[in-house]
Amino acid sequence: MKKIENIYVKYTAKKPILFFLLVLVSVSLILFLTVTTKTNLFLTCDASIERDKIIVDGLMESCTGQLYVYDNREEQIYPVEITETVQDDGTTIFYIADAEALSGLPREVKADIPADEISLFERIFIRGGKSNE
Amino acid sequence: MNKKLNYFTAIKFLSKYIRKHKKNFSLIYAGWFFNNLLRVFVPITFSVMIDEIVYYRNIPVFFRVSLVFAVMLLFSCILHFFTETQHSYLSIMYAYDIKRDIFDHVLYADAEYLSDVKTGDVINTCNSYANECMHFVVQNIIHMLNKAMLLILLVVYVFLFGWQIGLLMLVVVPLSVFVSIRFGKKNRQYMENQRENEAAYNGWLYEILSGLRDIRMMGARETADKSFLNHQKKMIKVNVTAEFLTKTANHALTVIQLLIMLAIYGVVAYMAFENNMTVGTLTAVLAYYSSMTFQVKDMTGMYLRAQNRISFIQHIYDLLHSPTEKDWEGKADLVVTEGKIIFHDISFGYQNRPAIFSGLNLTIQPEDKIALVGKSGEGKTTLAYMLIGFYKPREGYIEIDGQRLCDCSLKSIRENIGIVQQEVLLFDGTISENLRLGRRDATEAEMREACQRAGILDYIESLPDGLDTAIGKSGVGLSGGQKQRLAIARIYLKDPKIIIFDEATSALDSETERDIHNAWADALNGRTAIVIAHRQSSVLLCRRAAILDGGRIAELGDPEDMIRTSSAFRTLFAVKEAEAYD
Repeated sequence: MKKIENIYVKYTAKKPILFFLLVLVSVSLILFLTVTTKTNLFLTCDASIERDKIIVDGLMESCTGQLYVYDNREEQIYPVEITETVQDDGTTIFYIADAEALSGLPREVKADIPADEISLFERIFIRGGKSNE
Repeated sequence: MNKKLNYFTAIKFLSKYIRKHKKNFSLIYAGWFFNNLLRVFVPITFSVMIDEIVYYRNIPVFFRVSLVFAVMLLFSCILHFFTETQHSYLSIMYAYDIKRDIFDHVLYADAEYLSDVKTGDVINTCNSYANECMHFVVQNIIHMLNKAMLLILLVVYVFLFGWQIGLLMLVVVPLSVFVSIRFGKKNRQYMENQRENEAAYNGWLYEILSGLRDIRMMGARETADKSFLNHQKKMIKVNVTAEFLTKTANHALTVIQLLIMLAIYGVVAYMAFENNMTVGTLTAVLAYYSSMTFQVKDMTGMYLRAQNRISFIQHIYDLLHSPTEKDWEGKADLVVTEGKIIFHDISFGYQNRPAIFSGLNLTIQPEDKIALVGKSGEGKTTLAYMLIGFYKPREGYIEIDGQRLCDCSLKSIRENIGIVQQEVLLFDGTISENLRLGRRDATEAEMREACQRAGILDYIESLPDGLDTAIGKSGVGLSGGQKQRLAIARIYLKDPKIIIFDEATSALDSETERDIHNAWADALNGRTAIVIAHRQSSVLLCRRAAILDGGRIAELGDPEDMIRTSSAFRTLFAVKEAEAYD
């Protein structure tokens, strides 16, 4: 038993090889996980709702997936599926699948539109956790 | 006079001990650096998890981020473990280093310094003050740097959330520093008083506990109790004030931090209203503020405690800068062939006290046996101890066989002079280990012969383990006479040309003293001896007696003659005049 204790003390305090290995493995693992995990970078814009369309000022790239519409972010956010993106006369029109879901919202709203994908690494270590441009 | 230490000079003084363990320190800081990074990034990771699930209901991303969060926490826990083990190891080694230095310094400390210092104070210095130094280094160098590092990282990241919040949080730092410095200075004075009171109390306690039997026999319990209460009252008064000051400082800091937290809540509420703040970010901001205030409070608390500790460090600093025997300049080897001693025009006085000797002259011929007698405090022991380099004369010089003592090394001086004292030093160990204090390389045969000549071999051989018998607290107890015989055996092993007997038989009964005197007779053959004694029987063994009075040799002569011719001699030994002529 005493021998095990001595070995334990030796490799934790006097010759901390385990310490170095741990740091190496953990830092590598964290870097790997954070670099390979992708999260959306959102562009928050003023938007207006017209039936099954959400109209945003400015020209944006075509995007698929979901965008998030809300009046007050802290109250409720409505995720809606984008079916089509059209650019028209300096505005971008997003056609959405389920217009009924937005019936409780006023005409003028805010929309979080996925603009890009960034790694978790960038989001945590460089952007301080922010997901909005 | 040594310089007065402040917070920064105390760090500078103690930093040399850090340099001995660079590897461990590097490991601690490497560990803490990663840990601090995690402490900054874990709240942000958590905020990402919250935002992804609360706002965007992104379950896959939530789980991936949760995995990263879990790995970070696990890494943090294990890292914390390794860092703490290094930290504990280093604290123990550090305490050992400083105790080693203190003890080493005490071993070599100038005899004059030791005569002024209380035993309780020295014990405190070697133990509890050394521990305070260790705590100071651990908290105020290691932890403080770590916390400063974390604080900087937190401040940098807080500004990413919003410059308004960042500025508000920064306000905490200078306000806390201001409060700490104001209270710290006041506290230090109280702690200095506390340390002095504790040192006095420990010294008093040591003396009282050593003489408990005497206290009971003299019926002095009440006096001892009153003295105890006086000591405690002084300590309580100072301790209470010091504690109140510390608590006031801590609570003042808490109030400042609460007010700033309220302001932060206001700013955060406004930002949330303007949709510039998410729930996740809010969580991270509050976590950062909590962490930041904790670090600031901890740092200011450490600074306040450091002020308390500086008085202990000052004491150690003064001790480690006090004169030691290593400052003795003589390097030559003392060679004693005859044993002629000359005290030439010696003047000496302890620091800040009146002179004991003033122009004292005494010549001791080779193989002479001379008794130094006089009233208590006349300096008999001091004069004899000057021979072995414990004290340096302020004026005049001492010569042995034509060599000035100040030119010779202490090692060679002490190799040539043996001393037998009233209290014989015995370590917890075997008889042979204790005998080897006389000469380290003494063989068993030599030890047996020395014991034979000292008249203790029969007793040793009667013990089951003989020379390997354990003596001291955990072994066989020896009587006063047996201890004196061991001391004589050491003299035989050491074989010095000059011997000093310093009240060696004062504690023995007359019969035992007679036996010991018989044992001396052989030991003194061919050697110069100085006998310091209050007993006439010891003085009469000598060919000459020197009476010390008023810092000089007042009378010198054959003790048998002095009984008849010297009233001072008769007074000293309470010899009635009629008896002198019997």
